[in-house]
Amino acid sequence: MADYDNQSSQSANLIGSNDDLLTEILRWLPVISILRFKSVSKHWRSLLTHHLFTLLYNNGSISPGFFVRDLYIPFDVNNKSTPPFSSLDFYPDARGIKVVQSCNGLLLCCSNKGNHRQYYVFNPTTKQSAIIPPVSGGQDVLSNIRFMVLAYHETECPHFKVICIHRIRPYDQRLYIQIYSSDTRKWKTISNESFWASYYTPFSGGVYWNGAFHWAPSSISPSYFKLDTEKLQHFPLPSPLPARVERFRCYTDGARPLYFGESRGHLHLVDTAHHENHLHLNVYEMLSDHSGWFVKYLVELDDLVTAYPKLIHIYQQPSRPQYYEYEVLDVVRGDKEEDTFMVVKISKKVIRYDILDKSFEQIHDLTDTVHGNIGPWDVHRYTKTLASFQ
Amino acid sequence: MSTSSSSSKKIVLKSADNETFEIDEIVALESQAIKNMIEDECADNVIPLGNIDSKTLSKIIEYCKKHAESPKKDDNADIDEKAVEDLKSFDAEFAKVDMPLIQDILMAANFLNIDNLIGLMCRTIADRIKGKTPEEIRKILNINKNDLLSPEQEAKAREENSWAFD
Repeated sequence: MADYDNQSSQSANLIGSNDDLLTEILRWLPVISILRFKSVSKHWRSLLTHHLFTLLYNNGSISPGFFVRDLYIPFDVNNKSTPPFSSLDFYPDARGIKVVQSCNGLLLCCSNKGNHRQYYVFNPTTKQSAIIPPVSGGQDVLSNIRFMVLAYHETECPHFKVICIHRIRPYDQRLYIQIYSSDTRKWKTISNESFWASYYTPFSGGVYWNGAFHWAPSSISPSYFKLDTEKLQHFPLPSPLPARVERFRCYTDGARPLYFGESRGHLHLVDTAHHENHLHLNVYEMLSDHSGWFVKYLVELDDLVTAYPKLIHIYQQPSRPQYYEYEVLDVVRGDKEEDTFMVVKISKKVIRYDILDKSFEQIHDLTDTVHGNIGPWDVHRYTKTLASFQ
Repeated sequence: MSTSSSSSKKIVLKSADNETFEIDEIVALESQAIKNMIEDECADNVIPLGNIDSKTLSKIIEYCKKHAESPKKDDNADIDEKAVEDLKSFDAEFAKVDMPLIQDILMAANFLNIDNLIGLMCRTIADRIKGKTPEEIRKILNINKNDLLSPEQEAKAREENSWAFD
């Protein structure tokens, strides 16, 4: 106070009591300052933890990068925004931590090893974490967890939910559903919904979109689980069918779409388009009533083939789908249409491909940073959010 | 309002300490509040600003002059980038003043409803305070002592976000 004359402290008082101005100031602060300033005063605490401030702060924050396992890779190499971490080294679990899924800024993680894994929900921006209690049903259920997934959305689903798909006996083909809510902090069995799935159905790539949880199509009838009605429903594959699934008319025997994920409120599925001897991909987008897909983008990656000859599998015939060796790691919609891009991996190189202007650039080389094979299901997008939970 | 026959209309602003500033109307129109007054024809030749001192007002006029002279973004889609850069560096220089003056400018800009200037001052304040401790913030923004968290609440807040205090 001594540094300031009366006039200025009067202005400071006025600013301090004007929530519009104060909010306009606070929204420009980095996350670390926001967390620290929650202890400035009761008024600041209530402003900074208010739902509306969280929305304002998160609004316009694009996803600046993704995690490949526990390594963070920014999408824009020229403008590396600095998230408050460089890797995921946050929770002391002696067995290590593995990211299961990312959903609108929160990560579902579990112990990296062991039969009875501990599950966590983690906000990498604020470093807040919550331990998810064990699913109810005792050892039979705990030993037969097939799949866990997180649903969170700051307005549609502000209390995160974790959905567990489990058997009650090994090798049983009937699967059951339980839901945990951060609101009640309890698991709930969905008694009237169980379903059948082949033992070999690869359960991964679960996506929360539009109030429902979607499994990447990998069986005869792709399904989604609506959170409000707690009902399982089926969704169709794109029509006409992508070339890779024409033969069996569904993704089966371990075949999955090249990519299945959400961005800015759009659910995407990527698969090859019908263009022999060309690397052309369709990015399908699902209609909001889940009734079908339309081709949002036709992505012609011919320039990539020229720039990265390693894309071509020399022992394969050009007409075979395996002729090109690459993986689609992410599809990120921009604020504006022209900012939409795709991330592909060719050999160990991670490349960002801007869909509309067809420019591309290497954003990372995994050779020395991540060992072993990685695919789309090892990639978890980072989104900045101040979301907090109990 | 003015009956002046000169090519550009003039407006006179009077500060709290009774200093007068004659400016072009186009400069004054940067303030949405003054613009409304002029449109509603309730502005006299002299507009008294009883809550803004001359030091603050002269800074505000400096800002409005520069912004009124600069080509507006929506006028022309391919406005030359040099003008944008020029305005940016002007804003950066403009904000290089001490915190009390920034706060005064912010309150005055808020009163006069000059959107860009409010934004500039808020971003400047955020930039100045982001590295401060909660104790320093309380001083800078004159936080009421009755509004402080109880020691237990404060300890809890620190514990929840302990990494942010390292």
